[in-house]
Amino acid sequence: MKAHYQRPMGRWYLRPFYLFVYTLRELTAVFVLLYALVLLAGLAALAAGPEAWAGYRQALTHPLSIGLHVLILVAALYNSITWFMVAPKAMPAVFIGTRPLPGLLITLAHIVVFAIISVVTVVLAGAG
Amino acid sequence: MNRGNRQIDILISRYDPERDDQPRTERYTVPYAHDSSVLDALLYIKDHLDGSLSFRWSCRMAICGSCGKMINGVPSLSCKTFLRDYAPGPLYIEALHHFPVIKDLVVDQAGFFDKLPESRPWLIRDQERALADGPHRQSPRQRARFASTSACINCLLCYAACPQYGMKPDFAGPALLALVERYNADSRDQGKAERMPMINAEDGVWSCTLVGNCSAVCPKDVDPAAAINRNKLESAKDYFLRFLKIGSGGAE
Amino acid sequence: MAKQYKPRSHEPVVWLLFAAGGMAAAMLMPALVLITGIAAPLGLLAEDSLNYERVIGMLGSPVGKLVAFPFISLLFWHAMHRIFHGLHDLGIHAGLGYYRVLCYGFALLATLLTAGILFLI
Ligand code: SF4
Ligand code: FES
Repeated sequence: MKAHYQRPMGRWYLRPFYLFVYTLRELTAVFVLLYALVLLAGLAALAAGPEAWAGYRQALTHPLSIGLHVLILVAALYNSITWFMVAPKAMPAVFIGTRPLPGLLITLAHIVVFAIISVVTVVLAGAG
Repeated sequence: MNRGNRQIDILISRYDPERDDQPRTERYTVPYAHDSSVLDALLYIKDHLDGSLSFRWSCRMAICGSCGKMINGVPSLSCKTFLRDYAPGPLYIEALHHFPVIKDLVVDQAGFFDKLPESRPWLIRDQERALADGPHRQSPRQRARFASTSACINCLLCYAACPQYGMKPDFAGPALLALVERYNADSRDQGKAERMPMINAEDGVWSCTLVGNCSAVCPKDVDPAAAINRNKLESAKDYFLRFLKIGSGGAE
Repeated sequence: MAKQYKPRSHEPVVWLLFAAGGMAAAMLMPALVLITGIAAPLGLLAEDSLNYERVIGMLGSPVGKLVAFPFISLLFWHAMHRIFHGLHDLGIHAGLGYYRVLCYGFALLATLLTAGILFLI
């Protein structure tokens, strides 16, 4: 008997089958990490005093920073949407009588909460 | 097969262990009609164009689970997939990914079946119910808890959709973990503690990164991704609560 | 012989942190990025919305610290968990134990830093 053929995995994560539902979603982690570092730097500046804080705010106005934050925003939105899409699979099953609660409803409920939180946060911040 | 008057080209990844080191691709042109499935086309090729083509099938009606193939890169039941949806073609058909190819479109399924007994896919009771006590009774609500996970036909499309299984064949994989959930969720079963080690292991639910394609390709809506990820929560509970001696399956 | 499924994985510890961070990021990050990284620097918010006194007032308060500490540190756990598993996905299968220590060690370090700095504010 000759050997069976085992196909190599190659760059499976670039195949369209995986790219949009998975690979890009996982890639958002890099942007989450960058933003966490930006926030941590902000905390450090805050602790260092008013001048450092002003410097930090000044740095954030650099076009490169704005561009990076636009990218981070896109990644964050992608992360949010994909997170809500898989949320029904990660939580205990909910039944109404003999029928499982449709996953789409659970996803939509998350999106509604997300929208409310986002609007309230932005309005509170914008109001000064 | 209703021959029809349309034609479509089909590329098939072929592998003959006697002469090939690697699969090679061959092209066939088949006639088809509105109701022709991909399986019909494979049967046409075997009957009229090339009798040496090997592939598995049986029921032709999406219930035996034996006819799974990669169709344009997506794991699919070939009897449930229609040529009309791929017009004007060509289609590309390969053996299910992630399994060793024996010949042409036939794969070695041992990576699934060898692990099957470890999932304890039968009702486990502390005490067997005596025949005289009559059958186990179950309400429709209790039955509903495992309605979807019990619909699995072992077609293994989910394994061909799972890159984690492809990279690590020791991973229990989607259908097997869905089967674990199927019995754990059965009101007649008391064997959850025996099945927890499989859930808790690195090669159990913890090799899953929730790609989700297993559920997307499943022809029976078993939703193995949900079965696995709900059990991550179960496993996490078991991990911490065992210190309070509430948890089960303490195999360390 | 059939495969044996043991020992128990310690993944629940980091998975719970990952999941909590994922929920925090999914619910809050877009709005916060918009505010801190885009709207405020472009001057689209009210004049003094991110001025020193106001932010110190928020993050210096016990409530502010109780929100900021888990939020920021969980972002690190969320990101490092995915990055660690991403290494495996990219085909890096050798030395994963080493990368595990590196990835989660970094998240732990960031957590301690966050706590330390908040303590100073
Ligand atoms: S879970 Fe679905 S895709 Fe997987 S073997 Fe069962 S029926 Fe097939
Ligand atoms: S031939 Fe039975 S499932 Fe397709």
